[in-house]
Amino acid sequence: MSAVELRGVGKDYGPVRALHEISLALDAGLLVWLAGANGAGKSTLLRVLGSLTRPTRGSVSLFGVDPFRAACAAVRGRVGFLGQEASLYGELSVAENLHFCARLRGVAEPELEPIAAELELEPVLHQRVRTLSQGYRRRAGLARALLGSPSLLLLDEPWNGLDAAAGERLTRLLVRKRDGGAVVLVAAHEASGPLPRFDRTLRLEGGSLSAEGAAA
Amino acid sequence: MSGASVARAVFAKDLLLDFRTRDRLGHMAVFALLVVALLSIAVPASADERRAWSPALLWMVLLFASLLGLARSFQSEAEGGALALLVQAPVDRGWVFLGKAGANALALFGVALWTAVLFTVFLDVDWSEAWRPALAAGALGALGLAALGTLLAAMSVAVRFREFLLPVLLFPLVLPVLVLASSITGAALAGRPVPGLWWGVFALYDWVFVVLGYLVFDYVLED
Amino acid sequence: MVSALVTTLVQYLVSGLVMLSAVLAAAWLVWLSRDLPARIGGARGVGAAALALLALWLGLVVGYAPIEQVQGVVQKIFYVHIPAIIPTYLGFALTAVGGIGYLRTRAESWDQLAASGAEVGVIFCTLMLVVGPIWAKPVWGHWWVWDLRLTSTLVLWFIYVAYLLLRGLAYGSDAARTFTSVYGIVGTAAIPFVYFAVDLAQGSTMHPSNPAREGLPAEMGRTVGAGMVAFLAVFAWLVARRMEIAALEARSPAARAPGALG
Repeated sequence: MSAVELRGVGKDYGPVRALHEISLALDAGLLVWLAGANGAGKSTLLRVLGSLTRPTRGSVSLFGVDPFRAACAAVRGRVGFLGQEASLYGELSVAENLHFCARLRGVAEPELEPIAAELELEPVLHQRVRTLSQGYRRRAGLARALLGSPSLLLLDEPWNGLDAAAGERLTRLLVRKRDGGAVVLVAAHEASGPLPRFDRTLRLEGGSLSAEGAAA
Repeated sequence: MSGASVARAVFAKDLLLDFRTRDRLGHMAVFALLVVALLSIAVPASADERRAWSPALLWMVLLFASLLGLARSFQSEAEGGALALLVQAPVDRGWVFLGKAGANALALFGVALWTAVLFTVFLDVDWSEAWRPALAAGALGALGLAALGTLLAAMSVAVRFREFLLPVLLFPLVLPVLVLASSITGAALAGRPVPGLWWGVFALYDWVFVVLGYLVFDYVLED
Repeated sequence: MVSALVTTLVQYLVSGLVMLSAVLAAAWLVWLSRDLPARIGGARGVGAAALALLALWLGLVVGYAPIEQVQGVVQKIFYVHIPAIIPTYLGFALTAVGGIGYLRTRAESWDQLAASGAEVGVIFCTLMLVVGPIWAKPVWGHWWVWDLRLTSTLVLWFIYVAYLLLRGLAYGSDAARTFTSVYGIVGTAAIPFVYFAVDLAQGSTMHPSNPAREGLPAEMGRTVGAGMVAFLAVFAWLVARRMEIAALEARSPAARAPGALG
């Protein structure tokens, strides 16, 4: 049984078909690249995996369980998601945002400090998110996604807004997570800059998986 | 970790945001002030007529003011993309509804108290004999408005013309709140006893829509 | 206090039984919509029956029912106003049932049932609101009277319109069907409370006391009964046809118009 399984997943937005019959299986401990041009469906696929939107067709299985069933809601706590937006409350500070998310996901307080330290957020911990630069905001969003040591990490263009040094640190962080047994699925452009060595590549074209294989 | 702790977290976060930004509460309070002031100037009435109309007018003012606040129930989520946080909560999302509706109910109750004060100042309403039933009516009314308002606000976030849509959707359904609350308030002000049946139906109404909101919110947040 | 609450609850239990029969009707309609080519024959059968019943009813109204002494010929509008009541409430019942069905199964046909119920129900509701004043003016001298039945029908009409508006505005968005299902459920749940509230607010009413309780002359009773059956048949036929259209639209996306149910 794989950690992540999609069977015939399709997603329609009204008359527009964003995803066609996607089937894939990912085991634990994998660093996967979700590649494709703009509009190919990368964000939609991540949103379906992150339980943000229900697939129109097909089924999703995370760690053996359907995350869309109310009875299995707990599995959503094992997923860390960072979308195009950082998903933070602008009027709350970074620390307050992290506290709120920790309470939402049942994460204990002592876990917050190491994550904030790892992403070098100490200088801005008590600043309102609204006032942060793009780079800090993305890092705060990433910290939020990492809460609770998720077994599945879904990241949409995580290197956007990060400088070279921060980008390097992110790469090393993702590799560490993969080594720790998590499934890390990252959507990124080729043009994002130097990308890590991925274990697998999933290429999306027009909403369909066009290629699958070991990373370039 | 349980659903109840999620509800508490959402409730606390909403209250914190409301007090920190003050715009939602402030706008509701200022709106109520303006309308009551206009009413007291523009409505020529004897003291008796005012006493007869005050309960219904008070609740009408409260209804319109609460629209301002309810429409923005999910504004903080929409701005930062934080709606995803609520959708991805690892519990039945009905708990999220309870937290949000609770925060809204508290806010609306505050506005109700403020409106009652305004009516005393501008329209000479005397609450000294009637304050207990009026307070209870205020609490029940705030809860009913908050339950339906939160649910419908969540649905209008993604739809066009939502400033128009929310009142159109909400008003027919909260007519019972308006009638029950103003009837109870009116009876209390006139010194008449309030029939137990009214309390019973009011409480039933609140219970039905809180429960319905809880059951249904999981589906609402999904899309 | 408790006994009064119980009495009220019993009254609503009776309405619940009416709703139950509506559920059975809804089940039959969903059955009708399942396999279209075969079912079109079924809907046509209902349509023919409905037409026949309407003709019978019209004949009864004109020829058989007596002219009431006090109100004159105008009173015959009563035979339109009263039979329209059940389809109005039935429309709401279908909207709620369809909404619950859609949320649980995510099958389009439940949503089509809900929308058909609303679109046909609003027709009968509008009919009641139009016919009411036509009757009221000659009889009581006012175009509109704030009495229990007319006022609560007006609020029901607002709920119907809000539902259809939500449907229209949300069309094309991912969540349209979910939202309208939810509104159908809460809207229908509010109806008993609306009725209670209007009753409370009005106190004494100007509406003629329910003739059924007073004892209606036999001819009048039969005419009303015929009207109820005829209107129910027309309602069922309209809903079945609307669902057929919705199913056809769902199969050909290119043909979808902005008002479509699909």
